[in-house]
Amino acid sequence: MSKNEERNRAVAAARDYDPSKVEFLEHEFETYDLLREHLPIARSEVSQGVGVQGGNVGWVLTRYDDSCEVLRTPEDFSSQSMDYPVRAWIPQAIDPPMHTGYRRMLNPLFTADAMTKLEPHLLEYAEKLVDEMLEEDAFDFVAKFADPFPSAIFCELAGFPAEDYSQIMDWKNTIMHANDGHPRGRELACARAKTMGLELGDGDALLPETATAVAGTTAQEVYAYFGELLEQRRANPRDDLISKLLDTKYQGERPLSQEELEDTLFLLFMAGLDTVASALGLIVQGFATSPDKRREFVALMEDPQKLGPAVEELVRVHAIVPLPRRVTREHSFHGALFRQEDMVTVPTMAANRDAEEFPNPHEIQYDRSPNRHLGYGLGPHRCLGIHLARRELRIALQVLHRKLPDYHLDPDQKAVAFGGMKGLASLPLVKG
Amino acid sequence: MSWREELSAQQQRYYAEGRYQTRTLADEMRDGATNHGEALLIFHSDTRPSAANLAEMHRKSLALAGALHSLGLRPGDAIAIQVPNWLEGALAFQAAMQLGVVVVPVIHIYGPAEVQFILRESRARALICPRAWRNIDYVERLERLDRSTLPNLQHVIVIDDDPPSDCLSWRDLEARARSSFAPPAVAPDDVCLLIFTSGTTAEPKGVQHTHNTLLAELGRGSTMPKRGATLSAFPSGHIAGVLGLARLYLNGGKTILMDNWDASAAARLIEEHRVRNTQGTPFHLHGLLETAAASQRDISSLTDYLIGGASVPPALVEQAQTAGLATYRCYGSSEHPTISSGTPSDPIDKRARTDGRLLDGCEVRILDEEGADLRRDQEGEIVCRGPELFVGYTNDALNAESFLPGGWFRTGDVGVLDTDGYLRITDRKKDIIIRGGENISSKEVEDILAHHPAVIEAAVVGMPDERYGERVCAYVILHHGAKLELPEVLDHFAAEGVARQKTPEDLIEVDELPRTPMGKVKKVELRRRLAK
Ligand code: HEM
Repeated sequence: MSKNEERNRAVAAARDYDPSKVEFLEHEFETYDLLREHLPIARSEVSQGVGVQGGNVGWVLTRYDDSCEVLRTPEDFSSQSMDYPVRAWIPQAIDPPMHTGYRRMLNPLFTADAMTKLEPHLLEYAEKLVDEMLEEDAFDFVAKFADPFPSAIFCELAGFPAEDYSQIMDWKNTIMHANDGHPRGRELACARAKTMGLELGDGDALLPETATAVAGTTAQEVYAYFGELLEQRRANPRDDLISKLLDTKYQGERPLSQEELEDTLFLLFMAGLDTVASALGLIVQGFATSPDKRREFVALMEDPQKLGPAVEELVRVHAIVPLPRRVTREHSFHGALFRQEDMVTVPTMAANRDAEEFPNPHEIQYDRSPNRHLGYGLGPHRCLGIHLARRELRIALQVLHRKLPDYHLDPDQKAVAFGGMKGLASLPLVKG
Repeated sequence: MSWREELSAQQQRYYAEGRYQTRTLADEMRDGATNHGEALLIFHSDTRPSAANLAEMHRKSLALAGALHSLGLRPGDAIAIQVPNWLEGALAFQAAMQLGVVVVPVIHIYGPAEVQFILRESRARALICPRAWRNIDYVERLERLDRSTLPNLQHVIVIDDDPPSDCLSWRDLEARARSSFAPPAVAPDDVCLLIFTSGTTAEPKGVQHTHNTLLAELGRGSTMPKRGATLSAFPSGHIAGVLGLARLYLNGGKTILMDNWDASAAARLIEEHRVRNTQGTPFHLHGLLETAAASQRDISSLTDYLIGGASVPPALVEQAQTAGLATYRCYGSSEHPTISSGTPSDPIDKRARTDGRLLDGCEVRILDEEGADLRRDQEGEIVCRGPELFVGYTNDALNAESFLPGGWFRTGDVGVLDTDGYLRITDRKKDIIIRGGENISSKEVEDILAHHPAVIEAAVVGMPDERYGERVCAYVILHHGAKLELPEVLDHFAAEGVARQKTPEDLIEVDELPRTPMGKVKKVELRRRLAK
């Protein structure tokens, strides 16, 4: 293909760029490579989110350096946009300097030390789930392990009662996966849309207005649920996040308002339930299709010196989050004219495969060093749950492969993927 | 590397920097219609006044694109538009963009000889022109075209209800509108504009621009005034006219276009519409300031005046400043529309005496005779590159000599880049005369003069002129005993079918011309004589 034809393909890919579509995932990395080579700062015709003043011109960045620059410059690239089901969530949708205050308050709750204390419990729970999963020769790894493991742990940590688990998962799926190819998310959202008397639209996707309305009402329920829990913990504090949040002071001065508490819990709810599950699903899917890489991992995983870097490398390759930012002032970004209210998408999966920063970017190298990947973000919003996430991933992968070193994809059932903050809705595997 | 490879390497760089994008002018026009559909476009004209807002323009132009499609126009075909600043011209331009058809704007004064050349060189499949306008009879001109050398020209559309029998009327065209028509995909690197400019060669040169080069020029958010009404009096066949029209979609302010420059009408329109920005040449500005003063028109709403096109007398900039008008100069050409520009906030001295600073992404080198780089404050040939630089002439022979390694374009102008980064044009290396903003090739005029039986040799230079900046002055050596007067020259030029503006207005008979040792006529010497 000539350079020109290739560029025209890049132009078409940029114009249609929509990472929330499952179809996009089929050529995801090819597209990011194409864009990075020809159109590293690309304007898209698909809305990449809605700015606070309504503008919705979208850009997509695929170079590592550009991505870092955006994430490190919150003055020019705000995290606050407009499409929140209730209010802007805390801290992810708040810009510095307010954001700094929230992070100072939240960081102590998620330190490495605090998370290390959870390890025995994580191990015990992972073993229980894997044992149950392996009672069958063929099983859905997502349903049996990737979903419940981090979610149940998180619910416990947060202080959501165990009996509410399936309700919580339904809420999460309705809000986060109505329109990204997740079958359960769509099913739940459609059911709710029907009871609300909303139009579904005739295509595969739900009408955007409908999806927004459904997410809005569902989120209201979640907020009401949080409200009740906060009430209970005010009366009877326990050793959980809800109680700790009630106890902390913003800037050491004042307790959080009811709204702030709810907005914080809401973000933790979204960040804590899906992320590790998605990363685990994608990592294991990769292992199922490349046994060599799996064996290499199994061979090193008992060496604590090697396990940490290996899991980082897996998170680099299986980054799941496209990060949205909003331009706060008109300026030239290397040459492209970014106008106020333009939306910029920084897909961490694209930055993480930039050959300029990561030689042989598509290749898993367990001892890759340096490995400054953006899988957990960068700058002020860098993942709050990173220490928890790392421990969950390490323990889950160790336990799984100790008990089941060999497995492959179920030839009779296909895995189901979803886009956006991507992941797997199911991953049917077979032992051996 | 060939010039083409050099340019392609630069293009790749502009993509990497994000200066080149995924969009076309059609996208911008569609979004303009959505984002500021109410923005009004007023076509001021004695003959054919009209007005439309962007939403209507968009709708109509889509229908028109369908009509042009039904005539067989396809992406990559060319359409010549020789229409003054009228609604029809703007619609045709917009329709062509939707259709991926290359627009070939033709300066309205061009006569059959130039039009013939342009139609042939561009391989235009269609031509749109008025029937008559002011003192020009376009239909009579059409009859003088030699259609046998124009095999591609299939349709001539005349803006009149009663067109000649082998032409379509504008109404015929509108009747072919198809609302079901779906515009094809157009690539941002496709050529969308082919504009002819006079240069050193006798024949006009076909300058090709793509969506990307034009959008790079138009996307200059910071230098271009965004709010408030704009008055545009640049003729539609010029790059400045084309850009003025396209910019409207991006900015969305009210725009008033004039089909014919008339200083007193301009002053009245500025007063009536509270116009904030306008552009023009010294000729326009001078006239405007004079009439406004004489007629007591209130033009105080006007704060921005972008002046270009010819050498600008500093006194004029200062005079405008006294009238409350921040005038600033800019420098560019059809090939590279804006290389440098002042801003209303630059110091008056820089605004009066320089052509502003390089625009973001534009680069300039100043070269000596041997092509070596000169230092700041030294005078030399300006070569430039930038995202809005054109992508080559249609005549490939011109390209090799116009581009240097690295994709630098030889402007043919001489200038200085000062230590503050301001560019000042000091001389034209290109042998052209700029009369009222119109480029006239000396060589072309000389060639026509040489056809006259009385003339042995002619040398043409610009005569300084208060009104037009320059006018055409011809030095002629005549055959022994032969006589030549201006009226006869006028007849001769009319018979050759070229634009009236090119006809010499001064004739100086000489026995010999000053020459270099190589035998080239020393134009500098001739100009110096006139300056005295
Ligand atoms: C593999 C798993 C995970 C990945 C890949 C991941 C990724 C990310 C990324 C990319 C960001 C940056 C967001 C931005 O810049 O807008 C982020 C922020 C965040 N993550 Fe994680 N995350 C993971 C697990 C978790 C877990 C388990 C928690 C639960 C506690 C969590 C809580 C958060 C929070 C609260 C933020 C917002 C931080 C802020 O805005 O200051 N994450 N995460």
